[in-house]
Amino acid sequence: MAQPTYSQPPENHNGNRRELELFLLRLMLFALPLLLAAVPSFTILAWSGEAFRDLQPILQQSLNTNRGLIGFAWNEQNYPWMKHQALLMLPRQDVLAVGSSRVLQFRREMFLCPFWNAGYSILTTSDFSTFLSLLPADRHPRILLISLDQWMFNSAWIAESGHTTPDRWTNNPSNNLRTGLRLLPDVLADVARGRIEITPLLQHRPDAPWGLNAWQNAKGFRPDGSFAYGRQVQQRLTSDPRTPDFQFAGTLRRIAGGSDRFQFGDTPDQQALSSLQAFLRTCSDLNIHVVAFLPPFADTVSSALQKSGRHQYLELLPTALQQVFTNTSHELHCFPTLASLGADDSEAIDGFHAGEKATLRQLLQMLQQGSALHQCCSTEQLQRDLAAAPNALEVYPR
Amino acid sequence: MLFNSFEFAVFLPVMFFACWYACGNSWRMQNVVLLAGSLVFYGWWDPRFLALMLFSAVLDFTVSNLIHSTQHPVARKALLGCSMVINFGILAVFKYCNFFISSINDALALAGFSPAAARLDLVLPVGISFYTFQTVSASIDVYRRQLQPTRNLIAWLAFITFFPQLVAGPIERAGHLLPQFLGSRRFSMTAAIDGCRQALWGLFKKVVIADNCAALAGQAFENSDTASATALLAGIFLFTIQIYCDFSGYSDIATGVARLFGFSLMQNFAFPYFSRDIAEFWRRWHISLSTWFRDYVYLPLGGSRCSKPRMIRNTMAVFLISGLWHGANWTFPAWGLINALWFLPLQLSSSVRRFEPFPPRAPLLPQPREALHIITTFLITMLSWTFFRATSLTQATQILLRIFTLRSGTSLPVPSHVWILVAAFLTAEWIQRGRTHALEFPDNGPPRWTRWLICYTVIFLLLKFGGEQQDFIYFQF
Repeated sequence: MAQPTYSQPPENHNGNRRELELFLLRLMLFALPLLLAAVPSFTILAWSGEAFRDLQPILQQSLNTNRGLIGFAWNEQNYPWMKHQALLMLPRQDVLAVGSSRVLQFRREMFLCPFWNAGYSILTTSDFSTFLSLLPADRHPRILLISLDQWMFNSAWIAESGHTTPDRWTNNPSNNLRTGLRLLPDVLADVARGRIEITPLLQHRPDAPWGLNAWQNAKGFRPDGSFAYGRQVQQRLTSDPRTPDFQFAGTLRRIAGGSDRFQFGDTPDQQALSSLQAFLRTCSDLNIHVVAFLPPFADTVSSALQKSGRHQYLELLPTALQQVFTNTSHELHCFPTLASLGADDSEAIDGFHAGEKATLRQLLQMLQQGSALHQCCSTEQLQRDLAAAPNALEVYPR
Repeated sequence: MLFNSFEFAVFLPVMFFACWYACGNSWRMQNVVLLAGSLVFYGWWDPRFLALMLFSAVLDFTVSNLIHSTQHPVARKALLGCSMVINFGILAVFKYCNFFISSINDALALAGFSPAAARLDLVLPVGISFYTFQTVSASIDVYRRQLQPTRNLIAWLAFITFFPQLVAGPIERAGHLLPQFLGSRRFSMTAAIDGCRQALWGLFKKVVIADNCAALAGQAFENSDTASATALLAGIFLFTIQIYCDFSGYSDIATGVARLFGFSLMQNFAFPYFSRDIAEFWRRWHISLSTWFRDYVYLPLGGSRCSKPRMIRNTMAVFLISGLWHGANWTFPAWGLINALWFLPLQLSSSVRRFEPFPPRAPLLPQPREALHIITTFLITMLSWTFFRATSLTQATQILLRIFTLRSGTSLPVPSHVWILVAAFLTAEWIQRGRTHALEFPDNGPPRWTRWLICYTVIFLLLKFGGEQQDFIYFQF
């Protein structure tokens, strides 16, 4: 194919300044509505710390001053990184709570030794090993308190939840530009619907909130890594129909549909059990004592799971786990329902999250069963705390 | 610097104002600014490799001028040979060295010997395959007396390093793009506005479609040994969409951005997934590369005007080299070979279609026969991509085996919004297939407010459904 030569003069002419200015004017006109729509959302996101801001200095400040509430409404992907980063910033802890959101009600006040809650960082049993491998040896705790969510052993849920990589804990996603941009339309829609109030954002707050959930609902992570449910606690105590998972309706729907953590399953996933076994071996090698527990469901939820007839793996799970823990120096405590703790459904935040008071009951039962945690807890003090609990969901000050 | 990054969002307006305002009407000054900007753009990734690119560019500048000034055929041939050996030598070292070492080691291991050499710790310079082909083609054109070399080094360097198409094409020919650097450029509002729309559509393809598909396709291929047949099929389909949107999205952004600076780049993709056979697909896919191989490999080997065995050899050679160009792994030549096997029956039966753009007013619905051909070609292409995406030939074979034996296994949870977005994207491309991109509007098209509304919708989708940021696939080539 013959290529043209360029001996002939090019067709282009001198730049056309007028066309250029007209183009810029048109571009500005086009961009104006976009800017008008984006500026309020951007301001709210940046001001509240929800997006476009780096979480690292805030986290450092919160840990140094022991003050601050970090709670994101949308950017929950910040949490695994935040928990891992906090452990690198903090000195070595004697007791470290690790797991999903179901370990988050363990608080520093419950322990006499240095304690930190790294909950909300784990999805599957293999994550425990990865998480531990990302901690330097001088940050390894003496005791690991881990929650074994029942669905961690459900093959269908494992397949759907996908495979996690170390980036989840090591990459700081907080000031990711794309994440922030993605939220602009959502924030605008929520402002229009009245779901985001501007006034609280302008008030001075002693709890130093960071993130929209912390600002709007006083919901977020405390400096000890535990989670404050904020406004949701009040809603739950007053039986407000706006409470998330009101009367456990959402959880019961999931159970009936076999979705979102409540997928159907016959037998516990063998690979998940093997991963747990490997993790326990690693902990033994590292001289870390593991205190594991199966967290309770609300009694209503537990009955629904039994009645469904399609979640049989739950019945087989305690025995399967006992076998994993046999011949190890580690502990396993099973709390199938709130009733097994001497509590009732009023002590549940929602269908599968026990409140602070029920969590304290779990700790007391562990201690009664001879847990190694007794080195770091005063049973008498904890019992006094339980007796003085102000309501069914809280024990310690927010 | 990635097109889909914050840095580029700052870089582009700075370059625009520098070129059109700071340089006045001086195209020479504009070339200096474009060259400086392009070096910053490339050096943002790793400034060490600027020297390599500049060396390659200066080499071909010198060689092409020497070839032009020499009449002695042997000297001309020697000069061209020198350029090709050095350029392809550099490419071979950076891109294929470890591949050759691994292949030799594997062969030795099979024969029971110990490895001959250790792998080298080399970083593949971004865009090396693209700019190497661009500079070499200019020297070949001068050698063939189809092109006069320029003596303006700045214009030449600005042409080779032109930032919109530097790292992932289109692979421009000197005969088309270089003249645009050798004279004043006119700012056209119509071209600039259409360029903005084309870049917006490219960004949509990359950020919304490709990036969303990437994560899911990756999941399917990573779990290929346990995934069900339907999950793998969905994964391959999503990769098929991803690679097209990723690469053609880059070309659209490149072309659109170039138009803002008064340049016109060649069309690199012409709606390839609406092709009616594999030959047409290759006329519409990565046009700048396929025409490069046609002009510099296929035709010099004899093309199709020779005996059938030679024609088969030529076709196989082009597809194998094209496969190898895409990556240093046996999966890529395999992918090329599979395409050659699909292509050859058409060529042998002389039913290879010539490239014809879709008519501007193409019917909304295809004829049943046409639809059947399009779907069949799409499925063939999809299965071929398995080899392109797989990490090894074994993995690719196992995936296809699992699909064809309808194996059960884990599913691939594809969110419904991804299916909806992909369907909407394919529909938009189908409706607009008679144009150069999906956001191109004819003069007598919809009123301005409708066009703006369409663009606002695309921007909204960009913000709302943008996937996790991924590198452009073709950066690794």
